[in-house]
Amino acid sequence: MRTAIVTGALVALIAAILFMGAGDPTGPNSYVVIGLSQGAVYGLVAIGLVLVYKGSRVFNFLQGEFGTLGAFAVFLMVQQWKVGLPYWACALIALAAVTIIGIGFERIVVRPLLNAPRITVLVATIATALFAIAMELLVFRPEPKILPPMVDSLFGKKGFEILSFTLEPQRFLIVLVLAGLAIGLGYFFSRTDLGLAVLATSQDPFATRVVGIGVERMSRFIWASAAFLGALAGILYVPLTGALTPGAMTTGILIPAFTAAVIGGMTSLPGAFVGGLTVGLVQSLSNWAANHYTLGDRLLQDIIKGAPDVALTLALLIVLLARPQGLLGKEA
Amino acid sequence: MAATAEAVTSPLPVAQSRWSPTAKGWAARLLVLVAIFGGVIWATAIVPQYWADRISLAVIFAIIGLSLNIVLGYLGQVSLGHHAFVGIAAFVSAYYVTEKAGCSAEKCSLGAFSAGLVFAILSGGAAAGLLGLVALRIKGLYLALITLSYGFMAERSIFEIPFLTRGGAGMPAPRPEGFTTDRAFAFLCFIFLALVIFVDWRMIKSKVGRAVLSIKHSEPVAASYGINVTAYKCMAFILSGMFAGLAGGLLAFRATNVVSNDFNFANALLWVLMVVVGGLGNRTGVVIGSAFFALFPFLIELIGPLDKFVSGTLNRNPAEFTPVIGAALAILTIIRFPGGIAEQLSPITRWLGGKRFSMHPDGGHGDAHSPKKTVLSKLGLHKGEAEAATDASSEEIRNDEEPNLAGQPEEPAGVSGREDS
Amino acid sequence: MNRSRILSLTLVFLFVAAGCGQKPGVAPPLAGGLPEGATVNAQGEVVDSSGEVIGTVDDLAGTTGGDLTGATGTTGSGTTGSSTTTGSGTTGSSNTPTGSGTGSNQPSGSESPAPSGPEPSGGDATGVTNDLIKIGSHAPLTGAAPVPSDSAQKGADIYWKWLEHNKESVNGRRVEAILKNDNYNPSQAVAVCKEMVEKDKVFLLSGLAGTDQIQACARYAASVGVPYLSAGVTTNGLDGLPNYFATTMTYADQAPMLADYIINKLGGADEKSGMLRFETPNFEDAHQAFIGAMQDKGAPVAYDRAVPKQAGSTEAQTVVQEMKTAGIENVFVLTSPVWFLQVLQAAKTQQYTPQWVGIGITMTFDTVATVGCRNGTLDKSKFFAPFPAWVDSDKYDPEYRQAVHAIYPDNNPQKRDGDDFVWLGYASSKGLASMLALPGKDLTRERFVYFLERARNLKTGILPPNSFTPDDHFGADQVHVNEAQCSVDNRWHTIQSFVSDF
Repeated sequence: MRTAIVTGALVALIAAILFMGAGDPTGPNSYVVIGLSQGAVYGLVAIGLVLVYKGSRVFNFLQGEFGTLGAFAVFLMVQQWKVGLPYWACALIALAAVTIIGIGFERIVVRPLLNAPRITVLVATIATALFAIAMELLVFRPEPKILPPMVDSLFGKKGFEILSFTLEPQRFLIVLVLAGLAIGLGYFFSRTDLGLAVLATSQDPFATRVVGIGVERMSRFIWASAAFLGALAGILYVPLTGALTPGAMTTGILIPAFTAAVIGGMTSLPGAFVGGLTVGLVQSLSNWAANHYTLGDRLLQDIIKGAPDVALTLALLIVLLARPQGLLGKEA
Repeated sequence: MAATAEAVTSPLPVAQSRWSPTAKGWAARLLVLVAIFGGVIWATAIVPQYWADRISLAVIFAIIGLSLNIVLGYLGQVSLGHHAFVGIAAFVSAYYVTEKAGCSAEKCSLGAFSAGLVFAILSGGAAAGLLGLVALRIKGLYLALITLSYGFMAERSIFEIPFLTRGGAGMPAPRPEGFTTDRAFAFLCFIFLALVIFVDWRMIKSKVGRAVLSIKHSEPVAASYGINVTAYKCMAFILSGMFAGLAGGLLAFRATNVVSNDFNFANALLWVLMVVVGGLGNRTGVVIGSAFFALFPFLIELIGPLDKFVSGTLNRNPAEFTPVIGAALAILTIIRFPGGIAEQLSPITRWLGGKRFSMHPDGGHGDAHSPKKTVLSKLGLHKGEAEAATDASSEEIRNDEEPNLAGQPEEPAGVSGREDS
Repeated sequence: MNRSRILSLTLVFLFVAAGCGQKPGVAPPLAGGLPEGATVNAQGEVVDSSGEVIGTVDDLAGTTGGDLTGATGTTGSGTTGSSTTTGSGTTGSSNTPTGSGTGSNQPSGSESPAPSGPEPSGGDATGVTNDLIKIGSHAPLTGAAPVPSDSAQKGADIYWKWLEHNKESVNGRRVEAILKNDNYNPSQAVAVCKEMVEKDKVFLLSGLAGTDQIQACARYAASVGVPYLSAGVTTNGLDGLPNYFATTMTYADQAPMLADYIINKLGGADEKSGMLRFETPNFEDAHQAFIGAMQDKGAPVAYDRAVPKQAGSTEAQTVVQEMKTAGIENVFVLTSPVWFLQVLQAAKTQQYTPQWVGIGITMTFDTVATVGCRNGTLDKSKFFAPFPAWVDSDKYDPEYRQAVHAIYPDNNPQKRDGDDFVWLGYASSKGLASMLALPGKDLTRERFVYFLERARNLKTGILPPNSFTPDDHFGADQVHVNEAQCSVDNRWHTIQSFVSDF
């Protein structure tokens, strides 16, 4: 119910902006599209964050790096070694590889900390993320790499023009994947036994163990799925940025994704979807506003630097202070 | 060396009775302490200037480590936005001396420099206070997120203000007269480190310190004792910000040119890790851990075969290994050795503090924040009180307080060996 | 009460901090205590009657230039090429001491008769010994404009190794080049420069690319009196530094030329033009110059946008959308290459294909062309560059290829001829060699600066010729125009050379 209201409000807001900007070439319309398409990426990463948080009450700073690793794995197979497999096969192998990395991470780092304070696990994910970035830097060097997109056309089209902004087929694919995941995972957690078991584990590990659910097994499952989702985000998104560099999915992506997850409520999968779009929209529109409005005789962007990031921090603060449980979260 | 020999002779855990070393024992301890601090001072005095420059970086990192330690170790919160405090302070001090006090690369007065540092400390405290006022109402992990976002915003917004930072080119921060050489500046940094350790030690001994530590253990319990949780948290945050501000000011004058690139997200994360590796809540450990992180690439350079392997065979810059090894050590610390370097060194530090030598780590858990455990500071108390009466000069304060820094040029290899084994 | 406690602590802390700052005590005895090897070096120096070597500086520079261009035709064998580096009069004499090494040279009186009155004699010869000159340079091997480190190292070494290979030298000395990574970060640049001056004791420093890094390091070099050479970037903070020399045109000087180029060659008079730049004061002079020049020519810039240095793909999409909406047909890009690649990617998506133009060094690296061609809309982009395209190296100096084959043999046909970084290193070392040869055997920092300040028309045939005066340390007024040819080989090709107006 609340999901419907919030989504409806978001749609109404977008419609209002579009209506106001209609017919104005310097208006915000194309920025709405830029924002939403970028927001979809944040949403995709945020879903992984929410999954881990639901399952083990941890903020996973490694989520972005799962994506970068996935992208590098694809790069290795497609560009470096030229293994001769079709792109989608390489992507599948990369997904599998990163999932295995996720399981390994769970076994080596998370498992020994099952009963440690959550803040300790948070620091551990930070350390691992830094480790991953530094290793990428050592192995792949900092020069930007080219990663071609997975799909060149979708539904027989080479581009989707919306409000004078062209969406690549792959970006369109991201939106579709994100929507599918949000609905599918929502169903998984509310309707399937495994999903409920995962939730139960996070809420009361001891009681869960008493009723015969393996806490370790659940933990492994959560991190494997998080790694899978992270890699999926990386493989789909990195080709769109034009350059694959170490830490590509962490710099500039992870923080907006966290904000998206928090705005969505941190425990709500549809919330991550909505939160992602909201964050993308906030960033893009503040960018537009800063470049469009003037204060005195100076453009706003010459007075306030980094408007999108200021807006992002303010949004996070406002949500946490006014409504700590987020738009769609059930608990703080 | 003597320590290990003694380890063999007294392997048994010692009863915590009123055992006190003999006069000879005290003399031995004093000798070792003097050797360690004297060694550091002597090393700083004789190494080439560029090494003095690196040592000053290590000292500044130690101050940053102690700053983070207040939030992380004493308060039990995570700050991922410390680069904002350090960076803002660095820019403010550079801006003051260059734009307001009229310093140039050739000439900058001590007065301008001191005022610049004061502004750095104040702005660091203000930046932290501002964040603290709002963010400390937010609990637990979410606070980490807010600090992260705050740092990100500072990086993208405040560090881009042209008049303050001069964009990518950076704001000059000339060193004051008398401290233009790297060596003189390194000694100056040592003095500030001693001061920070002193303030930190007094703070944790005071009512504020006890309140902060009780908040870490349990906020509801602390509140039920009538402790104003938010106010004390905010105070701790501001003190941390002031330390960070001091470090930022020193960093500015060390580099003589402040660039926003130096204060990025990755740095903030690395700083958190160095505190974790050093040992949360333990001054000695934090100082050693921070210095180790700062000096790591140069230590590789020192070890000939290793340098050849890294620079030659691998064809990589030693500095690129700092995050790799640092992060690996942090993970290892978190999983296997929660007390960090401090825990590993505790037999030595406790012996130095007037206990019997014992390899048995006291407590065994990583909760090393208790002042009782930071034995060196206890020693500092003895001497500090004695000398306070005789009007201790800054030189002597340095000798007192530097212990924690001591060991850093010599120790790290041994420390890492310990961690690896 | 709590608050007062903190406050008092703070006050105490501040008080002590301020008090301590005023005690000058600890350091002075230690200050400047480093043993300085300079005088020893200078005395052990072979001063090969530098009156002969030098002649009048202007003459010499002219002939040096002539010799250099001549030398490009004659290939490889020892003696002919030696004139490349030794300067006119000494070709014969300087060859002999090269092989003979340290001991045999007669340490003639350290006073050398100067040809013209004020010529300095002696001075600081750090980094120079009887048979060796140490030079240091920094380049971004990581960061926003990374240069592959092995290629960069090869580039730094190749020319000097090639000289040794041919039994040639710079007035009897071989040259050792140290290269360090500045991480595209000014602080790091200063740190490595400092290290090269204090630890490695180099004679001079040079910066390959990266405006902010060059500026920062040049300021440091000026403070310690070390000569610093770099490609021209900005005059901001560099103008007036006594030891700084820019060997190629600055951005501010190139910007009006680029405006001419857009108007006269690209038909920009009737089109909308825009400028996209990183927010740094070091681009500000170029920005103002370009805006002003376009204004003067009656084609004012229709789009003028600064983005922060940390800009990512979102910003790239945004600016592309803005430029597309505004209908900008010529875009002057002054950003980091990595971000420019993201702009190109976004432009491709939006089917926005303007004429990209620009200036600088890092933009015309072949990696940019390779990535930009495949992922974006770089084709037919035209960028001013101080060095000609690597694929055209034969036209400028056929010796380059011989040098690569001789020094870095590689059977892989793709790597056989090195790459553009090696080529750039070769070219700039060659220019540096002619400069190092100017003061003759008595090479000190003071004399190096003195002779360089009076050098006219120093040519290498690759980089633009240099002429300096004591008042003007910005020595070049010509550029090459490189074009990205995506239909040919995804690389830069030089379409015009040594031009100074359009």
